[in-house]
Parts: sequence; C-alpha cells; structure tokens
Amino acid sequence: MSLRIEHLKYTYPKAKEPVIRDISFEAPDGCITVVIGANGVGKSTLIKSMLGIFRSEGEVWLDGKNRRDMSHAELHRLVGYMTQENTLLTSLSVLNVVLLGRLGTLNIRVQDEDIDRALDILKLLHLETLVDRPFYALSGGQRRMVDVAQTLVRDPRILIMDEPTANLDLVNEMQVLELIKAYTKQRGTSTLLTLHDLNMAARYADRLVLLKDGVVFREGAPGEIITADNIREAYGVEVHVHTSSRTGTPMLLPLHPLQQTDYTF
Amino acid sequence: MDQNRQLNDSSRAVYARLNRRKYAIIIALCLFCFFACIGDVLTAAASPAYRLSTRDVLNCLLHPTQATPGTYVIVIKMRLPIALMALVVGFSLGTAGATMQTILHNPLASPYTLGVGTAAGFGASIAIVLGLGSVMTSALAFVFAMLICLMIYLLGRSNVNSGSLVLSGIACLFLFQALQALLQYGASEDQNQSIVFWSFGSLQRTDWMKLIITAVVTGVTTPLIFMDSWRYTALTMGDEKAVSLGVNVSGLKIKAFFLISLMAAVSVCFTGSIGFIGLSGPHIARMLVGEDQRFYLPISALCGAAILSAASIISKVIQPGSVFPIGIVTSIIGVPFFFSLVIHANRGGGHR
Repeated sequence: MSLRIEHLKYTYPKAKEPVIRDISFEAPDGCITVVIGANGVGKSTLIKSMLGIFRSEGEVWLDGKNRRDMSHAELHRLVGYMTQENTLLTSLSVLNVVLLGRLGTLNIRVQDEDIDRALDILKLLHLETLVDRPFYALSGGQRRMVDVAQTLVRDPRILIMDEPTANLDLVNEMQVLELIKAYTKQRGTSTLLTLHDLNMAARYADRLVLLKDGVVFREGAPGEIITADNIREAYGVEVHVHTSSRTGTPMLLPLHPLQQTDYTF
Repeated sequence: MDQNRQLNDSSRAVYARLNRRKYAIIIALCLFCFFACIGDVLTAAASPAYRLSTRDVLNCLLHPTQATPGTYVIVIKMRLPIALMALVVGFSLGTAGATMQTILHNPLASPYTLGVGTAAGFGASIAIVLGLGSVMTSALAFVFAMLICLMIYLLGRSNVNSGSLVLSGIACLFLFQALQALLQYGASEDQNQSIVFWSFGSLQRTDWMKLIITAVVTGVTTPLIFMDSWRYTALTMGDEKAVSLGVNVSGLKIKAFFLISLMAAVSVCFTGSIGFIGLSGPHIARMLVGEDQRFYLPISALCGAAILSAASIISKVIQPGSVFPIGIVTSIIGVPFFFSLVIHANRGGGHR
C-alpha cells in the first residue's frame, strides 16, 4: 500500500473543535482515490495534515514508511503535491516554472536531463509552444496546466493534487484528468485528488472517499458512494442519480437544496 | 524519438538564448564596475597639490613597488581601498536588498527601510556622545545593526511568512529614530556635528583593514545566498507553492535573514547610512532579468556595486576640493533616475 493514513486529527490553532476528527483510509497503488465533501469539510486540511504542513495527530504511511521517519527531501522525492492555491503571477518563463518541480536535483547551471524532462512533460500537455513565455502572460487554464506539469515533472510515486482542475474549461479539465489517469495506471502510482465536480469525480475515480463532519462518511466505488441518500446527507442537496449507459458511472442531476430559502427581491 | 530529441534540442537552444542575454548583462555590469573602480581611483577630490596624473596612478596600480612613496601612499593606501570599498559595500547592499525583497515578498523591503541603517546610526551616536573613538563607533554601530535585526526577527517570528516582519521592521525604525533624536537632544554641538556627519554616510573612513573585514564577510555570505537561488525562485511563486515544491520555507527565511543582517550590519558600521542602494539595485535587476534568482541576485549585487562606485566618483567631482557625502549623492541623483526607470517600466506595459 503506497498511501495509508490512520486516525488523522487536526485542530486549527485557537480553534476549539478539530476540523478533521479521525480520518483513516488507504489509497491503493495504480488507483485514483478522490476525496469529496462539502466546502469547509476539511479536504485541503486533510491533505496538508497528511504532508506534515499542518502538525496533526495520527500516522501517515507513504510507500510503507512512516512520514515521521522521513526527511524533508525524502518526502518530496516521493510525493508530487499540487496546491489548490493559485501560483503568484511571476515573470518566470514557463520552462523555469516547470523546472522548479525538480527542485531537489536542480543545480545553478541546469543539467540537460532536467531540461529534457521538463520539455517532455510540456510536450505531453501540448504546452511546448509556451516554453519561453512569462507565466503571468498565460490564461488561467494554461497556468493550471503548467502547475500540473510542474507536479509531474519529478516523476512522483505518490501523487496528491488538491483541486487540479479548478479554473479549467471542460476540454482542459478532461485532458488533465485523462493525463492523471494515464500516469496513475502506467506508473502504478497511488493518486489522491480532491475534486468538487462530483460527476467528474465519479467518472475518473477508482475509489471515492466522502467526508462529513471531520470523518470519513462513506468510502468505496463511485457507484456505491454517489447515491441520492449519501449526497443528501453530506451536501444537503436533493439530487437525482442515474447510471450512464455509455460510461457505466453514476451521473448526478442536482434538483434543489434541502433547506429551501425564499429569496425575495 | 529522434524527432523528439530534435525538438528538445531546439527548445533548449531557445532557453540558452534567453540566458545568454542575462549572462551578457552580468558581463557588462562586471566591466562597468571594473572601469568605475579605476575611474574612482583616478578621480581626486583633494587640493591640486595632491593631484596625480592619470599615468602616474595607473603606473602605480600596475607596479606599486616602483612608485614614489608619495604616490604609493595616495593611490594604494588611500584611494584604492575606498574605491574597492564602494564596490564591496554596493555589492553586499545589493544582495541584501534583493534577498530581503524576495523572502518578504515586498518591493519596499531593504536593509534601510527596515531600520538597519538607523539602528547603526544610533549605535554610532552613542559612541560619539561617549567619546569612545572610531573603532568603538564602528563596533557599536555593528552591535545595534545586529540588534535591530534580532528585534525585527523576534517580533515578526510568530509568523515569518507574512507581512509582520516588515511591520516590525518599520516599528523598530521609528523606535531608533526617536532614540537617536533623544540622544541628539542631549548632545553637545560638536557631538551633534559628528553624529550628523556619520549618518550622511561616507567611504572616506575606509582603510585596508575595514575593507578586508567587509570583503571577507561579503565573500562568505553571498555564496551561501546564491547557492539557494532556485529555492528563492520557488519562494517568488508564493510560500504555499514553495512548500509544495519541497522548500523548507521557514528555515530558508531564517537563514537568509541571518546572512542579510550580517552583511548589512558590516557594511553600514563602516560607511554609515548609504541609503537607496538596497532598494534600487533589486528593482533595476528585476527590470533587467525578472524573477529568476540565479540572475536576479547577482545582477542586483552588481547594480549595487556599479551605482555606489559611480556615486563615489560623482561625490568627488561635484564639489571640487572636497568629498561630498556619498549617502546624499546616492539619494539625490539616484531617486530621479530611479523614478524615471519605474515610470518607464510602467508605461512599457510592465507587469505588477
């Protein structure tokens, strides 16, 4: 098992209640595990706690090793992590931004191998024409794609991405998810994503982890998790779910929020 | 696959070409610094009796042993250390300012805007008021410059990654300004004169010993900073991002802050407040090469050296027969020049 977390708990400084109370699950090799849940349920907090960015209680096992026993460098050699936060607009060239993904091996004088890997991944994402463009001159979608390239460029064995498809239009969203899927299957990485688009989550996830109130509410294959009952419980929304005959995955049609508010203008 | 290699080769060529321009800038700045330094040695502020011909000075620089004792003393013992000090102090302030702006994400940050110069001035003032002599003046200036850095750090430590370091720096700046005013209020007229003169900033107090100390500190600290160039570049993308890329952000900032403090304190304790270099160097560098810290840091350092060296020449030419305080020169000539650059960059559709 490449990624396993046990009894993770984290309380924000000065907060009374923990955001995540007791979370345990496994993200198997060669599978995409997607964490879903309503806003503020602690998806990003979970990821930051797992990686030790937040000091949390509980154990995290990466590639069979306890995270507490790993050095900073070792952790980052193993894990590719993409934040939800947008990158600051910098004048760095796209190639330099991607090269930063290989920070562990970069020398002042950049080696050919690092440049080649960066160019390969840019080509894979059809970004090769942007190599020397300043990052700030890109569109929001292109920036996100460059962030993805930056995360994949160091060949991580464990891939953790917080909302990798935020700000992307449909074609880019699918391209990124297809890329993540191909990478996961071919390299056998254990991949953990958070996604807010439940239909995309159902389409691409091998396993879903539904969070509610700081614990794992449901866990399993998309067909078991995306049900009208579960969504009502976790999101407070009435939905209609049917299984697509084309993809065999559950599809969700939002109907109305449970708490009906009468908006009068 | 072959086609892939070819594509990579051509992309690599693009990348190399981008960098070639930056290397050219570095070489041009090095040349400028070299000639500015020679020019600095050649220019004299002293009365005509001490004036030396260009040929004598150059001969003396090339063959110091063959020069007449008088020429030797003027060129090697007096002018050369001052000219070199201009380069070293400019270099170190340029590096310190650039690194500070990067770790604090703030284009207003520099050793002076955060009060290092003011604190050093206060330390020097104490020594002057107590009549402790020039060695103790430098020593106390150094102690107080380090002290303010420690204060800034302790006050802002609770959250190294936010604006609190800048805020605590500015608070400390005001504190030391007030303390300095208090000291001057109680000081005699002669002492006040010395305090004011010290705070103008001057290279004229330089001797070989001070030059060597400053050069050694700069020589040790700058490589330690340049070494982390890629990590600083990661920082420019935001602290969160840098963490995700594997940078130990707090560790890197603490290390940088310590090195910067040391550099700034050593420079300022021997030369007094030479403002503006730590602010303009980084900005010019950013306009020239952007955020890639492998180039930004050294170019900012070289810009600092070039500006201070040029200012040193101007300070001697501006008022024949005496040396104008260099701190005033860097500000009065530097500020309009700097404004024009900034306005030009904004009109040119520059970003941020």
